[in-house]
Amino acid sequence: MAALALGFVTAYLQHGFVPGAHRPYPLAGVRVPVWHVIWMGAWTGYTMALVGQAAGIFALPYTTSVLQFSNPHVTPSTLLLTFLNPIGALLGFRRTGQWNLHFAGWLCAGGVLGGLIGPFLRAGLLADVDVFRLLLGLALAFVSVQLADKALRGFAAGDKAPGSGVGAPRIVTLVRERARITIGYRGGQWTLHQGVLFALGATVGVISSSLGLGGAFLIVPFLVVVYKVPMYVVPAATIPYAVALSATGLLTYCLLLPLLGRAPLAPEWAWGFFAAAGGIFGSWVAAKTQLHVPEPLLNAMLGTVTAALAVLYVTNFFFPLPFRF
Amino acid sequence: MNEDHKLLAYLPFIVLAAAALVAVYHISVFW
Repeated sequence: MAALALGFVTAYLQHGFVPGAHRPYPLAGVRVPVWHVIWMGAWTGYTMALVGQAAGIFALPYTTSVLQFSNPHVTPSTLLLTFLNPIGALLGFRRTGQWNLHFAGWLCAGGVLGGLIGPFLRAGLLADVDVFRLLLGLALAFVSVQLADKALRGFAAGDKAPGSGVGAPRIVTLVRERARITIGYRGGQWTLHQGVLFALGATVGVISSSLGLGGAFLIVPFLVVVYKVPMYVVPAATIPYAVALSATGLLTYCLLLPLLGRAPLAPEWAWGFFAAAGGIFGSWVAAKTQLHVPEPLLNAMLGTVTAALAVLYVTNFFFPLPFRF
Repeated sequence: MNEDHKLLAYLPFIVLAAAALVAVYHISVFW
């Protein structure tokens, strides 16, 4: 409700009126009813939370293709969504002990660096809508592979899910030695290199903040595949990462670009708040109902949709398609 | 699985179908 109210307040502050079905969003240049932006946040937040992804990876193509908001302002507007959406989850995980700043810290520091660089890429090379959509298509292709993989394996959280065991397991720091850190959770332990985490955070940060994504779609597979960190520990790093990266990206778009002589790329603040209002509700519903959902089927279905979108975006870059999307 | 849980299992697919319908409505009215 606070995000919804902020949407109306920022609309008046930024434009002097509430854009919607009759008056276009001045920066976005499109007419979209307020309820539709909220609905977009809600359905993408709900479905993507069910399959363990952030809303941005679906909200961004929906915004650029269906809602036709594809100029560079879409990126900071979506970053506002990726900043606000995980805050509820962040507070929840902190309460349940799925929280370790030694683990997340260097990754977040890398994200801050990436968030300072990515917006310059967006204002330069990626200002061209076709190049932007090509990169988005590649990101979607990567996510579709993850979803297909999960669908085939039939990943289920079950009794391994955090907080479902007896007592309150916490992610603890076992050893911190020079640049290495060993974390433990429910008997398992994993050693990670802080330098690698920082470099990973920075690289993913550049890509994600130039697109308008939270970065978990790249961080999660890296931590799972390279360091064998289990899925139920990963959010302790990716959720604070998405918040830190999005906040830095937003600040860079609004303040650092003009300070360094570039034109600022302001977000449609109201758009971001309306979408986040829906997104927070959607991910809350997902968290409450997740156990009853046939996850492999949903993974397969969303993986197919994501793959189809990826093919469309990538194909259109090389062979322009005869229809608008 | 009781009736409520059955409904929850169908919910993501109902939501996706609704999203597709809303997208078609938007394209037909605003494009």
